[in-house]
Amino acid sequence: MDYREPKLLPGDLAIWLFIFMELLVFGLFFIVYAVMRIQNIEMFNHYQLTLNRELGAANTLLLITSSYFVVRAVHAIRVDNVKKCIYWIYAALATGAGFLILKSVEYSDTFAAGINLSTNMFYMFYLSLTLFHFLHVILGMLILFAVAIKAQRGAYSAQNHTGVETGASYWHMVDLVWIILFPLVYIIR
Amino acid sequence: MKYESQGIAKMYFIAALGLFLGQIIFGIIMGMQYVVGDFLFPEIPFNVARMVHTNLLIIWLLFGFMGSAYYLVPEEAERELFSPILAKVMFWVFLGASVLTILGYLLVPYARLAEITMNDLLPTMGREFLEQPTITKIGIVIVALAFVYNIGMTILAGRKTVINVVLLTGIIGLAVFFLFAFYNPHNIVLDKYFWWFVIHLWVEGVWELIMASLLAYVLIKVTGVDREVIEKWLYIIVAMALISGLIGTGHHFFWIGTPDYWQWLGSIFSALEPIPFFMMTLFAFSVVNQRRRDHPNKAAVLWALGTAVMAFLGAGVWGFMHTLAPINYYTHGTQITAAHGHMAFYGAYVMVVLTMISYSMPIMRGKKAANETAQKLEIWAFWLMTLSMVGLTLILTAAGVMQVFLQRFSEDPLPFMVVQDELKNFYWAREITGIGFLSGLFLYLYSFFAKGKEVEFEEEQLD
Amino acid sequence: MTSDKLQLKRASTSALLSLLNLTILPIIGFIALLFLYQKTESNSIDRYYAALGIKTNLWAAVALILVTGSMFLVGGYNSAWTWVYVVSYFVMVHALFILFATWTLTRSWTGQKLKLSLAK
Repeated sequence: MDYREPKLLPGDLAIWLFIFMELLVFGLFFIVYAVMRIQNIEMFNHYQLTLNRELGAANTLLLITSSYFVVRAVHAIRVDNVKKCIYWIYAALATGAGFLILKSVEYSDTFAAGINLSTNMFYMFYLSLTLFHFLHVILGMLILFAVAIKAQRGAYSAQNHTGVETGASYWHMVDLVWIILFPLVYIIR
Repeated sequence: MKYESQGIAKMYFIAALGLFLGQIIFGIIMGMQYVVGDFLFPEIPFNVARMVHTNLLIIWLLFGFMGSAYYLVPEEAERELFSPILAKVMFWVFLGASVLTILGYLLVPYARLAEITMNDLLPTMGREFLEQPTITKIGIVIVALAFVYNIGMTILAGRKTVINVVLLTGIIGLAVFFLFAFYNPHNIVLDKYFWWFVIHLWVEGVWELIMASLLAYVLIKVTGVDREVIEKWLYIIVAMALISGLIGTGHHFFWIGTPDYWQWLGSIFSALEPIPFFMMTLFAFSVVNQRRRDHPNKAAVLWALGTAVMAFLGAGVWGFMHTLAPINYYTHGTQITAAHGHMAFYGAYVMVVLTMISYSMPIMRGKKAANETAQKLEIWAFWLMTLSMVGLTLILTAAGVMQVFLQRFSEDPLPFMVVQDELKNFYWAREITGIGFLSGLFLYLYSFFAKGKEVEFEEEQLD
Repeated sequence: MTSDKLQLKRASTSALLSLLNLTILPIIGFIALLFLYQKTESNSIDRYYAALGIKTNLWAAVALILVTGSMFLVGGYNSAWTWVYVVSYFVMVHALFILFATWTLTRSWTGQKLKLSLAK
C-alpha cells in the first residue's frame, strides 16, 4: 500500500484501519445486544426505564459539541492558525472531560444501587458497552492531548497537519459510537 | 554485526535450541505414553513428562525472546547494550535455575520437590505451566527484571523506534504479568482467574507485542521496505492485539464458576482475536511483495512469512474455531484445545524466535547469510517441521471432534477412558508426525554445521 | 484520477471484495464483485483481479459448500466420522482460501498479476 498517494480520507490511513476495527468491535457488540434484546424484550424494556435519560442526553450533546470543536480545530490549522487550533482542541478536551464527569455521576448512582455486571443481562450489556465506550473516550482524549502538545511545539501547519486530522478522525469515531449507543440502549423501546 | 554487544544473543540462542530439542523429545515420550500407558514408567510418569514438555517450551521461548532482544535493541537504539556483563551473568543464572528445575522434576517426586524448595512458605506450585518451585519463580523475576532494566536503559539512552518501544512494552508486560504467579488464593475459581492473567495475558497479550516487533524488525532488514510503512502496521497490530486480547481473557472463564457475563464478553472480544494475527499475515505478505531487494538469506525470509501464516492458522483460525461459548461448551479441554495449543505456540512464538535466529545467527558468525547448502537444509527443515506440525494439528483436531462427539455430543455419551481408547489410531498417527517434527529439528540443528558454497550477492544492497 | 490509477484501485478493491466474501461479508462481497466486474474492460489489470476474485470464490463455494454438503449427505449428521471430516476439512480449506485471497490482495497492491513464488 502506498501511503503517500493523494488521500481520499483525512488523516493517516492507519487510523482509518484502526477506526474500522473499532467499529467492527462495537458493531458486533451492538448486534449481540439487539439480538438479546429481542429475545428478552420485556426485561430489557423494564430496566431501560431505570437509566438516567437526562444525563445520557446531556452527554450526547457534550460529545456532539466536542466533535464540532474538533472540526473547528482542523479548520483553524488548515488556514495556518496554530493558536486557534490549540484553543479548539482544548475546548474539545474540556467537553470530553464533561462527558466523563457526567458518566461517572451516572455510574456512581448505578453502583450505589448495588447494580453490577451480574445483576441481569440488561445491566451486563449496559455496563460493559458504556464502560468500553468510556475507555475509548479516555483514549480519544489522550490522543487529542498529544496532538495539542505537538501543536504547541509547532509541529503542524497549513501544509502539514495530518496529525490533527488523525486525532480528529478518531474523536469523531468515539462520538459516532455514542450517537448509536445512546438511542440503542437508552431510548429505543 | 554493528555493535559488539549484539553477540550476546548467540549464547541465548544456543541454549534456547538445546532446550527446544529437550522439549520435543519429551513431547514424543508423552505422545508414546498416550498409546502405551506404561512407557518409561516409573522413571518418567506422564504428568512429569507433560510438565517438562510445557515448562521447557516456556523457558526456551524466554531464552529466545531475550536473545532476540539483546540482538535487536542495540542496533535499533544505535548504541552498545547498557550492560553486557549483566546480560551474561543473567544468562548463567537463568540457565542454571532452568536446568536445576527440570532435573528436580525428573529426579524427585513433585511433592518432595515442593518440600525441598520450601513451597510452604509461599505456596505457588502445582498449577499448569507454573509448576516451578517458588524459588525458581523468584529467580525468573530477578532475571526478567535485570533483562527489562538492561534493555530499558539501552533504549532510554539511545534511539527510540516504534520497534524497540513496542518490544520494551512487551517485555515489561511479560515481567509484570508473571507476578500474578505468586498469588495463589485458596478459592479455586479465583486461583484460575489469576492463573489466566499470567497465561492468557502472556500469550494473547504482551507476547504478541514481542512477536510483532521481532517480525517487523526482520522484515525491515530482509525486504528493505521503509520503516515508516512498517511502523504503521505495527501500531495497528498492537492496538488490535490489546483491544481483543485483554478482555478476550474471558474465553477462559466460561465454565470455571465465574459470573455468566464472561460468556458474552469472552465470546465477543475473542471473536476478534484473529484480527491482529490476520493483520500480521497481511503485513508480512505486503512488505515481501513490495521488497526493495532480495536478501541473500532466503531462509530468514521464508521463516518470516511462515511465522505470519502459521500464527494466523494456529492462533487465529484454530483459536476462533472453539472460542465462542456455545461451541466451547462442547469442546473445552478436549484434543481440540491441544490442536490449537500446538499450532499456535509453534506458529506464533517458536517460529518467530527461529526467524530471529535464522536472520541473526549467520551475522553473528561473521557473514550476511549462511552458505547455500546450509540454507537449503534449513529450508528443508522448515518444511519438515511446519508440515509435521500441520499434520499433528489436523490429527488432533480430528481426534478432538471424535472425542467431543462420543463423549459430549452423542445421545448416549461414553466415559472419558473409553473414548480415549477409541482415539488410539489418531494418537499413533500423531506420534508419527511428532517424529517427523523431531527429524526436522535435527536437520535444522545440523544446518548450522553444514559447509558449502557461499551465497553471492551485491554488498551495497544491504545496510 | 487517471484511468491507470482507477484501474489499480478497482483491481485492489476486487481483491479486497474477494477476501471479504470469504470472511465477514459472504454473498454481499460476491454481488459487489460482480458489479465491479461489469465496470472493467478486457485485458486490463482490474478485469484480471475481478475475474480472479470471482473464480476464487466460485471454487471456494464448490470446495466448502458443495463438498461439505455432500459429506453430510453421504455420512449423515449422526455419525462421528462425518463431523471429523467436515470440521477438519472445512477449517483447513477455508483457511487456505483466506490465505490465498490475502496473498492476492497484497499482489494487487503492487499493481502486478498474481505470482505465488518469491523469485523476482
